Amino acid sequence: MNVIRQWSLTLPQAAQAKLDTIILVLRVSPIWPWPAQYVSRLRGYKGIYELRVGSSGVQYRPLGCHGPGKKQFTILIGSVEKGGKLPKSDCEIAVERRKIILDYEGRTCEHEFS
Amino acid sequence: MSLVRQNLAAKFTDKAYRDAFVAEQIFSRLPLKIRYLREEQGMTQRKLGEVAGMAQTWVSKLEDPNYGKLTISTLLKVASAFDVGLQIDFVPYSKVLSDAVYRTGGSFVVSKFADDPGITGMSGAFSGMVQGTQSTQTMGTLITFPENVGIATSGTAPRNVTAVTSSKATTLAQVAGL
Repeated sequence: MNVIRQWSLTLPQAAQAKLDTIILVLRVSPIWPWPAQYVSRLRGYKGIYELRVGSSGVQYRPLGCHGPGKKQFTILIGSVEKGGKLPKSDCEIAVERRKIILDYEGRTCEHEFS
Repeated sequence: MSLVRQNLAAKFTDKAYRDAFVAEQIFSRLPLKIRYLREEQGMTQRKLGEVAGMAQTWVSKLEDPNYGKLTISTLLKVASAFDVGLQIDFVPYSKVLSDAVYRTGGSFVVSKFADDPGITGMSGAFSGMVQGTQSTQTMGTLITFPENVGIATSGTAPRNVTAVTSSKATTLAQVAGL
């Protein structure tokens, strides 16, 4: 089961298109670190970053981290801002999953765009 | 066909998705390219704004993938400020998809006019051709169309345009002085 795929399939088509495009663009970005308008550090949660995906007034925030390998970024959980804030539970899950994917091989896969 | 392209192609069967994908190729991709070109040309947002005739705050918005209100007129101003070209065209979805999937980091690199070998490297040849024909007065300019290209005509042809059809090509001769 791919938890990120499961989440992304629940999004409206426009949001899916935006997320897919942003990932495609970041894969080949010549700018590093990625500009904060695309990916920004999540305050209060070390090593966690948020992809900034706004669509139709909704702020989707897939949370991820760098790794496990070099030049890799892993999306850990899909989240959505509510009242300008992310649910604390989503941020905590991201932290837990970051530990798991950095400690154990085989818990990640290529983003499927499906 | 790569798995990524295959999966995205499957999503394209949904019209809402493919329409949004096309839009995002502009609204989410171009802001990064604007920032890259600005930095490559050693410009601050303020400097780009001065050259393009807009406030720094607008340049900041143009570099935000979530701004979503880029207009052709604004993009033309930015292209002019960078001294690069801008192409906007209608294309098949398959091209949009392939461009998005197979794009590389090299696609962000765009030569300014002064550094564009496709223009500046040929300027000598162009001037030579012009000099060589100065002694002969040009009486008309020809536009030759490939065979089987349909040209819709209706009503009366403009006074100064003569349509000539041959077996190989359709030629429109715009004759000067008539």
